[in-house]
Amino acid sequence: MDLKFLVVDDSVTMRRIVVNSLKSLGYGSYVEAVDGKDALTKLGADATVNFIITDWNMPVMSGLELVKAIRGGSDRATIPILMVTTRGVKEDIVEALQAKVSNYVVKPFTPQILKDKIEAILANS
Amino acid sequence: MANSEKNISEIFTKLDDLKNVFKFAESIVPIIQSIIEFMEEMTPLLDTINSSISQSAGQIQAGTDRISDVTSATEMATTEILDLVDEIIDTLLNIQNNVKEANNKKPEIDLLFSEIITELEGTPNGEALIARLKTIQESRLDYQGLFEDLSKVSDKTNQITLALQVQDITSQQLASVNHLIESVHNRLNSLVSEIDESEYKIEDIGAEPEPVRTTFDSNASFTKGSKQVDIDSIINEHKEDNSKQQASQDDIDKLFS
Repeated sequence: MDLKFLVVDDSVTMRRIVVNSLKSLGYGSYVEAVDGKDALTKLGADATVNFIITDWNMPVMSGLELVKAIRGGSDRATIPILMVTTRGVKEDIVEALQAKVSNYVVKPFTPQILKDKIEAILANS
Repeated sequence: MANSEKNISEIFTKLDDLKNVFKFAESIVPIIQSIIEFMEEMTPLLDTINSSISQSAGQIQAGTDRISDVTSATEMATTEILDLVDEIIDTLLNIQNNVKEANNKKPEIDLLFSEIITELEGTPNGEALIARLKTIQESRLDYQGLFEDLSKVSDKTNQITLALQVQDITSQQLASVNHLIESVHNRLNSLVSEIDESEYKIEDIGAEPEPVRTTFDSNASFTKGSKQVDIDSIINEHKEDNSKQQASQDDIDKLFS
């Protein structure tokens, strides 16, 4: 399966790091978005995007709001979504899982963790 | 007669009460006087406090601006480092590819050396040439070792990239500090307005600054290691809970019985 990632983070540093990690794992196809709203626009404009990696804390529209928007009846409701965030409190993780995020990675992460989670999501989907 | 005496007695009693009131008033006059003096002394003091709070509120604005500048500066610096690291990784990749290519040609070169040595055996000056060829062959680069060293450098470079996640994490911590400072700023503004509404207005101190990030994680921390393990155990626990929450038909029947 050819994967095309939508990398959503308001931090240019984090987008670069996620994209570099994806490249080092052999995933070269991606688009970037600066917040949840931008991500919805990019997702709507590009039907080939089939995997989302999103931050939680973002202005305009947060990652959690993005997950809820996608899962809540959009035509891309089943797309895999990996949350990559600094939020490591149990309540936050449970909230994200209840919003039907596919998996959850806490920053700082390594490419190996990213790889494990991507593979786990794909194995379950 | 008796009534008149009673009335006179009451009048004296009232006069005594009146006398006591005057005595009491006489005793509290100095207290009232000291309160007035205290208030007179407090007025300039309050004014000084008011002015000081007003100035502090202005300085807080400058402080939040500086924190925002720090965030912008570190983001710019991190981007520059990432650019350089990307260049190093690309260069390393080119060198690794060249080394790999050279290493792949090694058997062919070894075979050529071997054939030349065979040809030279028994010829005049052959032994000397063979010895020189063998020296050259032995001194050739250890391509495999070089490739492994380059891989180690490449791994370390990738680790630098990952360590730069600290910029995002610290920027969230700074945004959290900024938010706290802004809260203090707003409280001070309110206090200034209450102390002297006519003299120190909120507008005089400056508008509330826009936060660097409208959302942030105040608990963000740069901790390597076991954090993801904890997260995974919470996720698994949640999944187990959910599977437990999948009610059996018996459970559903019990609910309806």
